[in-house]
Amino acid sequence: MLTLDASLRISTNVIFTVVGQDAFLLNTRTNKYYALEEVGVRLWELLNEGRQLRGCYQLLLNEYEVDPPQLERDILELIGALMENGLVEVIEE
Amino acid sequence: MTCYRIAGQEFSFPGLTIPELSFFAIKNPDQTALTPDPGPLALSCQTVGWVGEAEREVEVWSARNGTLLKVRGGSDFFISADGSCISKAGPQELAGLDRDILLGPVLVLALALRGIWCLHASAVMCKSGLIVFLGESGQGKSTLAAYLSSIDGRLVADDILPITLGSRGMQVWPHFPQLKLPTHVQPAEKFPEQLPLDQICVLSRADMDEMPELQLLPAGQAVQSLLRHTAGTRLFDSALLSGHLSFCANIGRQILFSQLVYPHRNDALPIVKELLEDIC
Repeated sequence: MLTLDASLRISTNVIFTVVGQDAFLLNTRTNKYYALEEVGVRLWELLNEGRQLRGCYQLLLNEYEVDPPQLERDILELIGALMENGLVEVIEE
Repeated sequence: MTCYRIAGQEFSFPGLTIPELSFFAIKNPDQTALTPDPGPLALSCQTVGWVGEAEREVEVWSARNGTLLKVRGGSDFFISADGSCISKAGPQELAGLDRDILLGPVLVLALALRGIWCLHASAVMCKSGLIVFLGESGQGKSTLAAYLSSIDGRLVADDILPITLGSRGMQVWPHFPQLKLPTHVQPAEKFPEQLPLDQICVLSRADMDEMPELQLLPAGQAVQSLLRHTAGTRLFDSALLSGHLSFCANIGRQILFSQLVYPHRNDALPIVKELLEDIC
């Protein structure tokens, strides 16, 4: 089960570009586009800096006025979708 | 051999005569037929696309020297790696569906290989400039373009519109066959090879009792519209998609898009026209 303690990395086959408050991803393995909105963009940027998921959560908690359990649920849901689409991978320990 | 200049690019179709392209014909004797290298073909894409008024299975195969496009029910076409030469497999005659394949996905893919992207769009040259309308099927692109061109505008495109972004800004290339229009009313003959693009407007349908509304579209949504309304992207390999994403992102950063929501009733069209005059 995915938790905030999972070690993740962005897949090497992803192209990422930001436009305004949104970001667009291209999975070059599946040739599909994806879009991220504001908080998702920030989470992606933090992951891209090599941060652990729990570290991302703490930073987002400081940056946005949000209920902590809700933020955790939203992050895990988004990460689950990103993993499902091959955009993020779990690093095996 | 007859060659053709379409959307500012020269193409040869060895052995083929294509009446729909007669306006774009130029003479160039240097081109010869090209077929895939005997080396291995690799399936790069398998999808379903709208070709010849029906959904059909489409396959794209990569060869060392180009791309082979197969549409179920039609002939196979081979596009050279640089997109300039398009050859048909088998007899050098074009059956009805072959025409739709050649002038649809084949040409769109060949242009993409040359850095020109094709929008599913209508476009009108108004007094104040060129407006492009994007939107899903049934959102009123053709209706609005026909209305505006019947008042004081001129129809530039009513299906596929090639577009580029370069040092001269965003340009559209009207010299492209519009398959939805009869041969004698093709817009290409009335326009130069390229035109500057002033406005992109994304259409959606309002309820019948609502009034038309026009508002600015956030950049991210503008990019999503471009990604969604570019023709042929399901045929693109990752290199083409990467270029396409970069193109859409650059347009989203540089150009203001509008969103027009209007009810599909006749008395709304003059109001829409006034709204559009305000932004041009």
